[in-house]
Amino acid sequence: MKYTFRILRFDPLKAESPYFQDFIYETEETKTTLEALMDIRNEQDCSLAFRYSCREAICGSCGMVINGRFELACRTMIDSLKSSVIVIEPLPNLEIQKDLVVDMEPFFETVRKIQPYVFPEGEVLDKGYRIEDKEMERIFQYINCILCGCCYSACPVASRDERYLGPAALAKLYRFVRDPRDKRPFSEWSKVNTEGGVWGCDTVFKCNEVCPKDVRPADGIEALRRKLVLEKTKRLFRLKR
Amino acid sequence: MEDYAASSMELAPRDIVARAIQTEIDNGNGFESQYVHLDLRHLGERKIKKRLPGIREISINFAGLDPIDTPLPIQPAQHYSMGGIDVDIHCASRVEGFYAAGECACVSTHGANRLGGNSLLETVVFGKIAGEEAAHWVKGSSGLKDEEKHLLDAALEVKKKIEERQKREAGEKVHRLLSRLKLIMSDQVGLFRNKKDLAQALEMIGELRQDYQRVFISGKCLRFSQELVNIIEFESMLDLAEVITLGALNREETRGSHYRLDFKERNDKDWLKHTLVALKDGKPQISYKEVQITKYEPKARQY
Repeated sequence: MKYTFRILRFDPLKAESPYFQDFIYETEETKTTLEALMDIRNEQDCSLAFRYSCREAICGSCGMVINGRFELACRTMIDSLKSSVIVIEPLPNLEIQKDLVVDMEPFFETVRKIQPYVFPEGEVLDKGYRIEDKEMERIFQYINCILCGCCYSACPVASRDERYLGPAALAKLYRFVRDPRDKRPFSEWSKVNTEGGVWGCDTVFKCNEVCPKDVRPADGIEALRRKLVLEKTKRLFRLKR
Repeated sequence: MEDYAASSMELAPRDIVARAIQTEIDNGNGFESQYVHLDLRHLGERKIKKRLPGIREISINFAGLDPIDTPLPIQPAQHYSMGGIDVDIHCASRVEGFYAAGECACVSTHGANRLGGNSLLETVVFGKIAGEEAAHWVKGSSGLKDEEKHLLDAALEVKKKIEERQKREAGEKVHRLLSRLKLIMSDQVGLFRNKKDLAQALEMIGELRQDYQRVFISGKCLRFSQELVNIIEFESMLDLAEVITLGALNREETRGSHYRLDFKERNDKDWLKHTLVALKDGKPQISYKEVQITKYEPKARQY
């Protein structure tokens, strides 16, 4: 099969605008988009820049837009695209550092902000902190997040409002708040009771649509909203009594 | 698997399962002479979805097959490096202030065949120890003699090499060298080893080292250059490939995943010891370290 890879090229250090460059790529084998990109880089242009690491859809490094769809390049078979022209662009709404490499720092910062680790309570247990199967099943969906940034990049709110924490971070926060081992105080996690937090979401569900791991981050945002309202109400009644 | 590990079957240690698969393929019993099938269908949809969601996802993404309905094509591949930088129980190497943990290190918990799941031990236990010990060392140390000068000299040397390779108009491309090294290591230093292949592999690694001297950077922009990363990494890969091959050639016995067709038995009398390799005058030099046996005596592996 003969393919045309139309790849967005850009080097912000050069006085040039982003442009598409065509690479002709021929292969008889079943290849992933990442393998094709690596072959193109090796054989045609060693300066072509893109990120990758695990090659098995667990590290989240190779998120990009392939023929208009947010995808991980490593798990997208080129024959599955059913097109001889394959257009590849970097994740939108993040600064391009070079070609398909974007600055992920604003995204990682949102994840750091929600303190993505368990807040245990009391003495450290020798046996470790146990969790029941059924509790685990409730948060499993959110644990699948591999921080590829696709949802953040696709989110219309995150793209216009830099205060907004975005889908991945909020869904991750819900994952911890819902975890029975996590005892973070309400005063801590209720900081997302703002327009930059859970109320920023426009519920257009772009995140659910693009997530390559079926995390459905918007489910987490909605659940967090409900939990927030519930906790607020509880506190209100406690206060009155 | 009945012929290979009658009581453990598919749950036998991975070195045994890997050799069994390759033996069947080599004997002409594989599909398309390349792979065998792993059949998970008897587990049923519920169990596969609950217990093996990751495996299922990989199968669907990469092979386009759902293990609930279809057997999976499988073949052996390199997965984990046993052995590594020789460190003690505090993750300290012989170089003062240099700590290592994880797959690059060898605390000697795995022996010649790491058991499934035991890589967690590296991250959870020894990752923590290495971090704590290194921090402890930094706080308690007044620093090494001329440490800044040594670091600077080393950095300048790397910089000089990069500049030289960038100036070249032609030469070897690193990805071609890398492909050659991969083939040597899987074909001749892989699942089944013998003296002839290993000795030849050593020579071929030597040739690669010669060719590597002529490596050049073809992309002129070094920002986010994977080519540059590969070039720097490749030099270390050559060293490691040589050490692994040398150790395998030298160890005339079979132990764990090190399987010698010309020495099929384990030989505790001569080889119950660690092989250590250090660089001396630019050449790798072999020495040995005794195995510390505590609670469990070594015994024959029966599965």
